[in-house]
Amino acid sequence: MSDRTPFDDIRDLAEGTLDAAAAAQIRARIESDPALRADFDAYAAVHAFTAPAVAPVAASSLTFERIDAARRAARVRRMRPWLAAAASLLVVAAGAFAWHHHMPRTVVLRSIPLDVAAAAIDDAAPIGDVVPALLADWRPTRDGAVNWIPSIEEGREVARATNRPMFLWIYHPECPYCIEWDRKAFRDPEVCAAAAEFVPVRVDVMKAPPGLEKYLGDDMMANWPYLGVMSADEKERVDFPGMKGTAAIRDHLAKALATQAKLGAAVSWDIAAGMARADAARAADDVAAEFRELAAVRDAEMGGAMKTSAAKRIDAIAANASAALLDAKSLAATDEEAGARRLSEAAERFRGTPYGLDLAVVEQELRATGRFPVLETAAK
Amino acid sequence: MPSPGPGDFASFFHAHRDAIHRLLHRLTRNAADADDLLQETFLTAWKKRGQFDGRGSAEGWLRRTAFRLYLNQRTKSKRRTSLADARSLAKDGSVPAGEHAVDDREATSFLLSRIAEALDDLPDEPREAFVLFRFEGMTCAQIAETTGVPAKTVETRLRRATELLAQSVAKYRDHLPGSPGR
Repeated sequence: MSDRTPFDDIRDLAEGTLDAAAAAQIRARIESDPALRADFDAYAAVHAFTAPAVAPVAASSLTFERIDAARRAARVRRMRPWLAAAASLLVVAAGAFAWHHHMPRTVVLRSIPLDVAAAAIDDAAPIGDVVPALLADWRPTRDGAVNWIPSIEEGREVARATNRPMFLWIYHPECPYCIEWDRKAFRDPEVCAAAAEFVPVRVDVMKAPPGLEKYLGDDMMANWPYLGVMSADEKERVDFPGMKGTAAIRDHLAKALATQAKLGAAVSWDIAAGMARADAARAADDVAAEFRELAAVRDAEMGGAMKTSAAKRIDAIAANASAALLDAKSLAATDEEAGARRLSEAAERFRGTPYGLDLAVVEQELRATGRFPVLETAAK
Repeated sequence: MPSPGPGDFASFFHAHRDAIHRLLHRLTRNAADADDLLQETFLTAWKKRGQFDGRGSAEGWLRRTAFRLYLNQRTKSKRRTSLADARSLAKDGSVPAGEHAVDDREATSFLLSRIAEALDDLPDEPREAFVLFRFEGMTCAQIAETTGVPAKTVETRLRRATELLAQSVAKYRDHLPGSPGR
């Protein structure tokens, strides 16, 4: 369907661009329609009047180069707010970066105390002061038999360290009763269980140092073989020498437990072993192992004096770490690298303890920022 | 509509520059204004080329864009300038004393001035419809598409322009081509 209007036809007729047939058809329509006729007359006059103005207009002076430049300029203008925002962000980021790298940051120490009294280090128990090394892997029974300590002096040290009475047996390897006891009585589970409450000591009468008379008395045969229970200082002592059976030995040991009651709470074998291993670790300069053993003792349910001793020694380790940290801080004040090295050495020494982690974090911060961080301790 | 790219923009520009410029020149009657609007038309069209849905011709879409920009400009400024640069040729708007007092060149110049005046005296919408119809050779349907009004409205505007211009014709009948006095 054509979208031409009568006005389009009028103009074409006025311009004379129609072929004869089309022109005749339009003329016929005009003649038959007075309104169209009026439109045509008016337009034809105006058409002729405006003919001089139909001349072509001057060509545009606009070039592609000019419009392309304008397009690029417009793009820059559109991007300007974004560029400004990006520049602002860069400035802020640069400021934050500078601030971040020039302001010392804070490190919260999880474990190392900053207010440790110097005395804490001195208070720590020295190596082997209370616990013989024997205790590290020794127990009063082994393989279903009593596990004898072969020396009275050594037994006495164990007895003192564990606050237990000694159970002393003076024997001879060829003594038939002794052989019989060794085979039977001291393998009896009940006797073993009772003996485990003491520090069992067995000495060969022929090899022991002088001084056994005080146990055997003047008539050695009357007190042979010797069995007895005594405190380390021997102020408490119960003798039950002579030939007797397993049940009798068991009964005597049960009665002798009263001696223990007079001494107070005994130290468990596990705790004593832990302290002994802590001592061994300390002798080997293995701080992590020492800390681990001491912590186990400190946190044990039962432990008595050894728990207190373990806690003090842990405090001493913490104080040593604290001293290393403050030493590094002092060094870093004039020589950052020296401070960092000191921290690195300390972190290595205390590796495996919570203090080692604190030291490593401080070292990392010092190396990252070039400034010794502000130190705070975590709230307990 | 060409696909994006500087080269496409160049070919797009060169393909349609003259037609759109002629349209704007007719509407604004000023070469500088026409060039300004021409640049704005192409920049706008290129920026919004994604909105061209492919229905109709690219030139028709450009014409609509150009016409909207022209309307914006017309709203901002009611300033009227002469019809093309021809108007500047007329130094004197008075009717010559004698009907044969001017030669052909002067007569043409005189008529162009009168045509420009007559067109300037028209209301905006009838004038725009008449200019597109008479000088751009657009059909009523094309004008309707360009200006965004129904074809019937275009016819009404053309009729109004024709009536008003016909009154001017009477004053200069003797100067018209083919008149008895020529």
